Amino acid sequence: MHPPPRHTRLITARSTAGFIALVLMLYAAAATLADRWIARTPGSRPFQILLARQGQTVDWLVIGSSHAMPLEFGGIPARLGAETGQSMMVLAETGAGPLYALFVARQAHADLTARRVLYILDDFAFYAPDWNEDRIADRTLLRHTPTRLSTASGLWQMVRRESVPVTALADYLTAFSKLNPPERFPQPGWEGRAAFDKGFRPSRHAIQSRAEYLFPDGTDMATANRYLGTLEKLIAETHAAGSEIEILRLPVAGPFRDALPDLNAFDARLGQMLQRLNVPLHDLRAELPGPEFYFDPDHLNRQGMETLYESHLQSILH
Amino acid sequence: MLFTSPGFILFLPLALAGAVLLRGYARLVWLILASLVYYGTHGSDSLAAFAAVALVALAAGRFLTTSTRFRSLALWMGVAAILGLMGLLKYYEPWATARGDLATLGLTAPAGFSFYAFTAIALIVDRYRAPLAARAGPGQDLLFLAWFPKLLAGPLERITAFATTLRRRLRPSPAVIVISAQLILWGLVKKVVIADNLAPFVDRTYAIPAYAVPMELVIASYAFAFQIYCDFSGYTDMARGISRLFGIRLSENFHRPYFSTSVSHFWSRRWHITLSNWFRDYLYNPLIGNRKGQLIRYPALMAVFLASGLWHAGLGYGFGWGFLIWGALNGLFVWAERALYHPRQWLTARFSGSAWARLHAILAGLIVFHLILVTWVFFRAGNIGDAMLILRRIWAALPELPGLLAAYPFTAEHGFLAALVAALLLVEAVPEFPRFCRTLTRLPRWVHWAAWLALAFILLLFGRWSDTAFVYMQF
Repeated sequence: MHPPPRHTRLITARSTAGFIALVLMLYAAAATLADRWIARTPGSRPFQILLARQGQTVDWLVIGSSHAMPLEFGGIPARLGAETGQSMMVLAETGAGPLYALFVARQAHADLTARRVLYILDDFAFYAPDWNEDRIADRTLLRHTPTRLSTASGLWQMVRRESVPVTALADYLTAFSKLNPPERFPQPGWEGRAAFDKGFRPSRHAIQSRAEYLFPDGTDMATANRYLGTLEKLIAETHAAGSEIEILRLPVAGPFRDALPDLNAFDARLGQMLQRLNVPLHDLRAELPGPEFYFDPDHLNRQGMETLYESHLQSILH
Repeated sequence: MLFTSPGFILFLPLALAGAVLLRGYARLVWLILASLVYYGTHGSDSLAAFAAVALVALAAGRFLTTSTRFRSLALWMGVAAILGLMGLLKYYEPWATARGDLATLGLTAPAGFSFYAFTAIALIVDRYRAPLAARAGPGQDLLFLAWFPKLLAGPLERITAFATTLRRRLRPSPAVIVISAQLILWGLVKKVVIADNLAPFVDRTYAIPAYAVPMELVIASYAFAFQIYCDFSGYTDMARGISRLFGIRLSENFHRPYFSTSVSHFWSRRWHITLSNWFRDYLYNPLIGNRKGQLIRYPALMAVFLASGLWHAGLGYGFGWGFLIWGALNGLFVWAERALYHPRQWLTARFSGSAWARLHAILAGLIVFHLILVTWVFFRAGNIGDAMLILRRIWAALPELPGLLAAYPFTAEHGFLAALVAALLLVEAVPEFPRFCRTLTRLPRWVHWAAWLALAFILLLFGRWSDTAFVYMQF
């Protein structure tokens, strides 16, 4: 077979280059539109909230995982505002561990002024990358993270220093997950706000499988120490931003608490660290043990949140 | 690393650049190294298993091409060693677990093991049968075994054809690049757009056969037929396209299988063609030898289908007896087809050229598709009990199917999946209409570019880029 003549090769090369350029241009246009749409959609995801409320000053910035969401579901920010005039912003994300919290906190410190940060601490989130590096790289969350230079810079830091996969940055910069949603047809799962007014009938199987789900890698103290280091960074950066920080451990239902692994070593190490850093810790895990305060094995329902607010949160927040 | 992994986008141009720049033996070494690096990304256990198989095949092959004595012994020892390793890696663990009194060793067959093990057996047997054919050094034979595009899921090649294509000078021309790109792009669409979008629905439904409603079981069974086809043939298309970039042609493995009008044709000429050929050349033909009688042909056919089922078994969820049932059912269908050969021929001749012939072809196609569909249930379900439960529940619901269909709460997901399957069938149907094909090829060039542009965007927007393994890799 003879090679094709030079002019044919040139035409083909030109056509191919033109085709690739056209694909890239159309992709860029589609990505821009998708990003605008995500940025303008009022959402409850931390980075969407931060984009919408840039430049504001808040008295309480709450950061945490899904366990912090009932504060928002229960209207605590509005109630606090009505009672004391203080403002509260809840930046909670399901399954978000300390590394995701640090990622959110950095963006928050860049976008607004927070007088005090309340970090809702979940021990499970210190025991697996699933709740940390993997959550930052999670395409579902990246889909709801509007493209901004400051966020890209924060993500780059996470890739460089915190072992977050570089594919997360590539996905974010190309807006790939915004164009191609990872959960195109979401299946019924955690109901969150929709279940907030419900009660929960404890089932040993549900509680056990939830506990196993939260600790996928067991309770390796070396992993916990690594993420305690991340929490220390979060505290240091919050202080550097001129904000105070307090740590809150929310109540845990009795049956669920019994199913959790022994975390005494973690508690001791956390206590020492917070004492050394002079950070207040409000440990309310032993409060509200009854299942009537929860809408699933480990999330407070409306009754639980109101009881908690009146019995403990008021005194912490006022 | 898979063809759909981000890392492969870096690996492929690098491997290709070396292949284009290097000549002769250096190129051969480069391609072997690239293949081993590619397979090495699946873990050192995978490389160790490959090394064991390659060592046996190369040593036996070398002996068979140079020696005139003890050749049969070398052949049987080589084949037995590879089959023994396959038995150990694939079947020992489920067997020991089932017995209970044997120690489990934590052994599993690495990705693509069966494919290179079968390729190695073909190499040994071919060296035995024709020692002078495709004679070359161990480097060529090693590349034949390790060639990365086909390593994980075939096609199952033969050394003679592979060596011939390998000897050709690599001259990347625009035509070759275009053909390769088309194969890769279409393979990607089949895998990440169709198969990987169908997979979650199938997985969800097959995970709860006792609780899923019958309509869901029906839809999931249809979906699996297209998932497995797109997953496997998508891999082959990509393997052929990638290989072609390197100047190496791989065999066609699929030929629009769901348009088959006979189960025999489905297996021999349309689905996993190279495996069928492998079984024909290395099992069926040696079994029947020169004997033409039906008494030997029927058991030999069943033996081939049972061997195929056994090849698929040992997958981690127990031994996988469902695969043996799957093989046996296909064997039974082929038996039935053979037994009905004369009435079928009479029907074909009687209505030849008429509208009835078309109707007969359509009906035969539908029947064959549904027979294959039934066997897929045994292939996909976790065990025989689940498969029987699914079939029983579907069977019980059949009389009420129109009512169930009307009352079923179809969702956007169902619509999306149906659109994917319809699009696949439309594209696959085009070659059945030669005049329409010619019209398509005569369309202006910009229409062709626009079609490829649309395909690229379908990949980007609807593909599930989650690094999902190819189903057949695990065999």
